[in-house]
Amino acid sequence: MDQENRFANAENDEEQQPQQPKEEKTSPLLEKIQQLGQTNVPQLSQDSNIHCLTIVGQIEGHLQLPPQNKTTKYEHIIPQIVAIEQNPKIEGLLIILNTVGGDVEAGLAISEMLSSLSKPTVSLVLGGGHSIGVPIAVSCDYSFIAETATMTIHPIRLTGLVIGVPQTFEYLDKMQERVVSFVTRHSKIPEEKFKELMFEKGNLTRDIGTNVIGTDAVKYGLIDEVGGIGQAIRKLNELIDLNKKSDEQSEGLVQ
Amino acid sequence: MILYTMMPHDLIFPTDENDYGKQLTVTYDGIPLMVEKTENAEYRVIRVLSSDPNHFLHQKYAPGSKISF
Repeated sequence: MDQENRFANAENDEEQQPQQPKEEKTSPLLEKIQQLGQTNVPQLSQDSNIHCLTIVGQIEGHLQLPPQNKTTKYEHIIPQIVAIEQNPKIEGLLIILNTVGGDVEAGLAISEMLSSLSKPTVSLVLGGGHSIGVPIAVSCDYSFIAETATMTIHPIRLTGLVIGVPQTFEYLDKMQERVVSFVTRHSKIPEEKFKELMFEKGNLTRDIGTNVIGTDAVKYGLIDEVGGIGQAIRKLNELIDLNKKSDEQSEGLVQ
Repeated sequence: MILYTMMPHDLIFPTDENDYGKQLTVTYDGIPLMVEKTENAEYRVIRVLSSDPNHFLHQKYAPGSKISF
């Protein structure tokens, strides 16, 4: 404790006499001060032009999940996307996915927000981007998947109270159609192939569907490329440059 | 104990209502954080909810660190 205090006092003394150029001498001392947690110098660099959204855990719908669950809440994500769209300093958005899926409506809401964002977006699936994570991954301008990451494609299901009438099935079918059409519109996978994977039997132990791994997702046209964070950032910077160039061109046309 | 049921886990063992109140979302120094109240009127950071990657570099608000209002 004594030592800590002494360092702190030494620092204060120097602050009182800023005329003397002692900075080089004090640098090891300053280092110690930082290590001991005595000074809290906010070393803020300028605003990052790339923002990042992480979609982790379960995608929470209208029901709040117990706090032991890791969730992504749409009431957090959607205002952030609005802010990113509005902030002129932000030029691109990176989406990192490691999700088990969750609420269909919430997932589709996030996907629609991302696909309609005017700034370049790149998604990266790490670990897993299952069920409703699939439309979120494909909603971006360019998508990456880690080689070991997986995506489960399976039909929509319902938990809770179900009314046992044929209309329930029709309702579910319509909801599924929304997911299928979103994915096929925003990726290169044909509808037949996506449905084939979705209704495949014998792949998942307790469900109908397919677990698509990294390179297979690219092969089917669901994801654009296998890669990691380096490739994703590089691609995003590339798209940002393209976006800037096209902006300049369109401005030139107006004049 | 093994429960042979198709009932969802949370329907059989409902979460204590008080657990929902423990966590809250705050904006501290312009950084949105998810915090949990500790015994001595402090808040422990659970998660940084910001989309700005720079906010994750602040040692002060790293998950697990304690802040007080």
